[in-house]
Amino acid sequence: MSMTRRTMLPIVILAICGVVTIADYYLVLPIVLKDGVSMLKNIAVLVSSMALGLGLVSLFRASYVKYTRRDAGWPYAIWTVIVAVIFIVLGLIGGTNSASYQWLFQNIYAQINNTLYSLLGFYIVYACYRTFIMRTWEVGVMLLFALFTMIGRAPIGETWWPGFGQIYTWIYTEIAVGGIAGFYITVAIGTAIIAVKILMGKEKASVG
Amino acid sequence: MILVEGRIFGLLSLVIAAIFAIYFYRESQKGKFREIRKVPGLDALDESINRAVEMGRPVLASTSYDSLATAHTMAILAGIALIRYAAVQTAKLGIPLLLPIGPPDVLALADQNYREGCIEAGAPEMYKPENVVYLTTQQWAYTSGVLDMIEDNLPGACIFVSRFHAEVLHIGLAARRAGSLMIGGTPHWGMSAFFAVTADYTLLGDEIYAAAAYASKDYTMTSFLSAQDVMKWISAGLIILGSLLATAGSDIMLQILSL
Repeated sequence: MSMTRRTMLPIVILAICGVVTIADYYLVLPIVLKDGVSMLKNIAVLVSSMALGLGLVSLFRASYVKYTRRDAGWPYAIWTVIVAVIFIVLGLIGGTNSASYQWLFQNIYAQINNTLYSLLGFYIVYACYRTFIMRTWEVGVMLLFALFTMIGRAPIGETWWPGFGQIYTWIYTEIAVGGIAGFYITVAIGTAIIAVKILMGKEKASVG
Repeated sequence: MILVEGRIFGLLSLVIAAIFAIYFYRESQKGKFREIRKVPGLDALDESINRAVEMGRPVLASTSYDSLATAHTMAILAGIALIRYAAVQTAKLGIPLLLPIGPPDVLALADQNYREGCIEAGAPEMYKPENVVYLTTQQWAYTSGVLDMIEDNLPGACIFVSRFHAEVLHIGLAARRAGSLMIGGTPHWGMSAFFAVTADYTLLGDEIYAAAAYASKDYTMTSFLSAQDVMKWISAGLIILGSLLATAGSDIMLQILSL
């Protein structure tokens, strides 16, 4: 296949799928086209699932390279492969709802998951500390608002002075909500423009 | 075919955005381009890669654990565009690019862009398939995978652009401990705050969509950023007009927006 064809074909397919999907959102399409859009969405999910095999190949390859080079932490690479194989075999034999699969999932994976999640509490405190270092007057303004928000949200705040709660409500509903709306409007505009760019075939990232 | 009620204004906005995008792109092809605003986070992209070269360390980039078949596709594509740019630059400068990727479909896209980027840089030998590592679509398993790669490889620069979630704090602080210069960007307002406290440079909201084009200094591509800016001015105008009309007791703007 020539270079032009190789690059043009994915762009044309992408453009057709994109236009049809956008049309499905904004227009009342005939039932035939609507079915076509549903099929496209199902294909997307299917392709995503099929790519899992590619992920496994990548994982095994990276682990193998790490092992053969004896890179730092290579025993963990072997362990990763062993655990992946155990989960795959158990899942294939008894399904993901089997007692053995669920035992491993609940007693190993879920616990590690919860541990990592709970660490977030400590990191948020550290992030607060970093935020509250006042280097410029802009940070000072943010610090002031953050302090009022914290005191206003904490139960003790309103016990000290009921005005703290009102200040927090005012900051949240009048300032924060406006700012968030502005943020999302710009994100939506950026999304629309990048969608146009992809449909024009000018965004190389989407087709490689 | 008729228009879906309540989405007419959205469609109109999309058409206007498309017209501006095509107009500015055509103009840039003729050699006419508008001055675009400076984005410090994107100006720092080359700086971060050069820093990694000076330190003799790799560059690490990732796009979170969200699959392409989610509502975050555009943010992921923005991250992939930056991966491609980083692939070109790292291949030119002869340093490795590490790509811990969450979902398998993004893995295929990242791998392809990494390879194409190396070829584009004239250094196809810099493409190392083992540097593109599949992690998982599970949030904390993905996070621990990225943390492992950061601790093991001590990257000189970390680029995290996509729809990131709370894992940003873990990853960002690990990157700081590793002495990496970190550039982070997400279209989510809440997570932008997390990036603001952990990253050296933060790309706010829509800035991520212009990232690769801006960094490459390709004026035909930055023309899309001009279209983005014009649309922002129009939105700001509508907000002011709407506020004035609402103050005067008219809800006409609300009616137009709800068309």
